[in-house]
Amino acid sequence: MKKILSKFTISCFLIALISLLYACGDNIFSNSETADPAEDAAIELENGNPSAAIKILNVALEKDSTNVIYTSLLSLAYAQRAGVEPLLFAQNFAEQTADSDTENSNMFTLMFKVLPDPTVQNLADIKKSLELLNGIAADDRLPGDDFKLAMFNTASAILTLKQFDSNLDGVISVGELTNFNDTTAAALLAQIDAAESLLSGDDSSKDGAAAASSFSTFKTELAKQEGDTDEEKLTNFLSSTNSQ
Amino acid sequence: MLSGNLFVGTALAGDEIDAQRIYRSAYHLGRGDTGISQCENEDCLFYNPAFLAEGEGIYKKTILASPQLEMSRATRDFVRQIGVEESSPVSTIRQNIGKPNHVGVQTYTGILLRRAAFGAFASNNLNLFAFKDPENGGLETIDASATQNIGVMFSLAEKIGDNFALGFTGKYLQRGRGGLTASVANAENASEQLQNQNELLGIGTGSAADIGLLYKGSSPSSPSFGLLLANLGDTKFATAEPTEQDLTLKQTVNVGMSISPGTKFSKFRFLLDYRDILNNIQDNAFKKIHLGAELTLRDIIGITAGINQGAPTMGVYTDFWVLRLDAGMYTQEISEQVGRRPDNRFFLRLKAGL
Repeated sequence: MKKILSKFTISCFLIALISLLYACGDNIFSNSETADPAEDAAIELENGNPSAAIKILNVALEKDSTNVIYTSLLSLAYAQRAGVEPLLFAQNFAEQTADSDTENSNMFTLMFKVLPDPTVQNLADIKKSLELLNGIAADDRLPGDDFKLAMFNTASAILTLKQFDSNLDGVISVGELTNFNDTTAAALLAQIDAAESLLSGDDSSKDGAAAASSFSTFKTELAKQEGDTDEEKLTNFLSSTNSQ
Repeated sequence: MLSGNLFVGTALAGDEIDAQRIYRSAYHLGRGDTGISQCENEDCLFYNPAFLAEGEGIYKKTILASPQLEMSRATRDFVRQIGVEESSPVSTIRQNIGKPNHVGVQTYTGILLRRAAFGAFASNNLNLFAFKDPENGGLETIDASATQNIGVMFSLAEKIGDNFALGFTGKYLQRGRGGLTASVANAENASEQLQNQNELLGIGTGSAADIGLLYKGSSPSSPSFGLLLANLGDTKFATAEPTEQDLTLKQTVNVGMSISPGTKFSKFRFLLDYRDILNNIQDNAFKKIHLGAELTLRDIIGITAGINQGAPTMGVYTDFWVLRLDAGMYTQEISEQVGRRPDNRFFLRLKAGL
């Protein structure tokens, strides 16, 4: 009888153990928890799944369209899908501009190699990211939003310019600037102005401050160029620093 | 790069559980951190002191040392990446965004008699977690916390009738806590806050008391019911320097039940604990549920399994009286809600005693 009981005990334990191990894949209570779209989206971003985060946040915003946290995270998700992560971007920007030879290069083309290709999808995503962040009233912005906005403006400007590097050699030749018109130049300068303005009042990031300094240097260089308008000066600046 | 970008904020939910539990036994962690209705030796001083009244004779055991180490899976991987694979610290940290890191060490030394015990213990927990913080627009935030407890303690227990036992543990503790939450998004006055020791660190001394109640049924399955009132009236700590760190050990009411059917050679246990009934530490009921199972052969070798806060735990042990080894893994939830940010941890304890 004792042997039978012993076998029964061991069998019970093994069945319980197998059941527990079967449940190991996930938390057995997780399906009963209330949803938290913000944290769920953040976890997806941490795991490198921005599209999943976008899906979660879009559903959440359908129910709560004025939620600033959702909107801010959604802008980050679009930027991440475009290949732009604010902290890494700022770090790369600071490193690239610190190492650069300002006489023979400019901050835009230096960043070409650390930004993704300017595909239609990437350009649309970074544009969407900027639209979302710009849609949040300044008073409602979260602590990181100004920094993000500055980085996304900068990234957008560089991606826009990178479109003209048709042979993907990392520089823009005079020939490649043929299609560079005043409208594009004006949009690019507006984004640089926005980024500089956002960073000049924010001393929270050393890399952000480095970027702001680079913008000042760029504007000084721009002012030295020939041309009647800023757009012409920008074209000449790009031609002079990248001529081959 | 983050060093210039810090601000001090609140800690994560998982940190508080590590901070409020001053001692967690490897044996119990393997079976879902259950033990209020069934525990052994020095572990009972923390899980339910009423068990000291159990057994026969006067002398139970002298614990010479019982060093225990816990480490997160992410911490193990982090150390391997830095130390063995020689990855750069920055890229390694980036790869560890969203992965909780935890290191815990503890030990107990003391003498256990039937109905009385005295000894000393020390425990340390260090938690580090970098994550994308929705409150900061998804920018990276680091949450770091450390807790240290050193204490001397004595316990008394007495049987009441055939089925009941009552136990008491008194502790004199020195307790320290440190912690900060730092975000790249919110850095104003960061350096000043980092230099403010009173804000970052706190250390104090205080006395604590626990009461345990035990009911053991007499049927063949040996049902047990336990009640633990921990840190009666909240344990406050007197500090030499003012601090903004909350050192208080909050009072909790905890209950457990178990059955232990078996034979002369083997025994199976099933255990259920529910901690913090009055929501003094946390509100989420799922995080308070602990389920455990154990199969032991002559109490010399055993395997354990369980559910801690909804996540699986496992353990094995060998006990040769003078030397005992416990090893296994458990999962602790870092998020406010279970299943979101699981911290998979490994543990190892070596205990020497006579």
